[in-house]
Amino acid sequence: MPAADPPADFDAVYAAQYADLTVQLYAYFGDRQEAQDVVQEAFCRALRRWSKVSRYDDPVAWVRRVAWNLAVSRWRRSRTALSFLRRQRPQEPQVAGPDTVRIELVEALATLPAAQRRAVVLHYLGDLSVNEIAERENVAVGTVKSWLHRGRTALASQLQPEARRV
Amino acid sequence: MSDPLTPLFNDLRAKTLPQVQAPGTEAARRTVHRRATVRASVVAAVVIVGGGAFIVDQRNDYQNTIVPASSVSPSASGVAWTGRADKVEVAAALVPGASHADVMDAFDQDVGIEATEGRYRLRVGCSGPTALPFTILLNGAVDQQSSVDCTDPGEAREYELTMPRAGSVRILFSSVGQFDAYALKLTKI
Repeated sequence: MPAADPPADFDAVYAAQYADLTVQLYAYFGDRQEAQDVVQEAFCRALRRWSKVSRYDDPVAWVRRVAWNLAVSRWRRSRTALSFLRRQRPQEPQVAGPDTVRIELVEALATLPAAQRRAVVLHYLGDLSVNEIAERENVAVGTVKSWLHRGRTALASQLQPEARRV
Repeated sequence: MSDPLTPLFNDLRAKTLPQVQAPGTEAARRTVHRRATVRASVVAAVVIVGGGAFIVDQRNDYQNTIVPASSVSPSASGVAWTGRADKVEVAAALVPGASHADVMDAFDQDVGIEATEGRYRLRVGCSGPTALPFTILLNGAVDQQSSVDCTDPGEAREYELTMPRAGSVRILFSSVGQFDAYALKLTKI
């Protein structure tokens, strides 16, 4: 719904939100460059309609929604491509990345089902409440609570030593 | 009992944020303008090809059958409402050293320029089929609204602006001026 406030400044919204949104999508994708590309694309789409988007009550929510929609589409495409590549190259050696808690958290997130992962990332990194996630995902509040519970349990079991260290 | 995952995510955020390199708003503007130009070119090409096919079709009809005389409206020619082919060059020629030049598409275009405190002259040139309205915003606040009467030979207007403090000058071109080509330059005076 359009607000009566003066329109938001694109540069200011970009400066305030770009990095935060990128971190969220990095946690979802596991690929920082991909996350940066998606967030930039979301801002390009917002800029194209900025005269309208800037008058929304929450222009950031619009950008976040577009970025997440793009992320979900890309993730589905890349998952299909990855699955194909794995079938083609079954003996590809696994190269271990830097052994840090941060990388392990991103890797652990990657093992969660997409909906659980989105809920966990939006809750812990997007600072969205259960109600806000339910509204965004168009599901019941109880469903989000269930996603978060299962997500937490799965992450905790994978990250137990790291969780104790921090 | 505190959530043991919270510090892990805080750590992830704290360590990833410094590594994020934003391409910047200027890159976003260039992308949007490039796409708009490509779209406008595609539309123009479709109109020209469609117009050519229509003329060829009409000629064939005249050769084969007797048809009643028809009047072709100016808009069907594809030229009357898209303006001349070199309109971007015409607009740019009216604004020597223009920092931005583009063709308007079916949506508003937002040009942002960083500016320090002081007085500025904004020169806007336009070539195209219709008047191009726009709003000038200084640091997000509307300063003035105006319009350039675009014509095929092109027109230019100048505006004096006073920036109370460093920030951004935004020129918001209305999609009413679709197919107009504009060029602009902001000069400190």
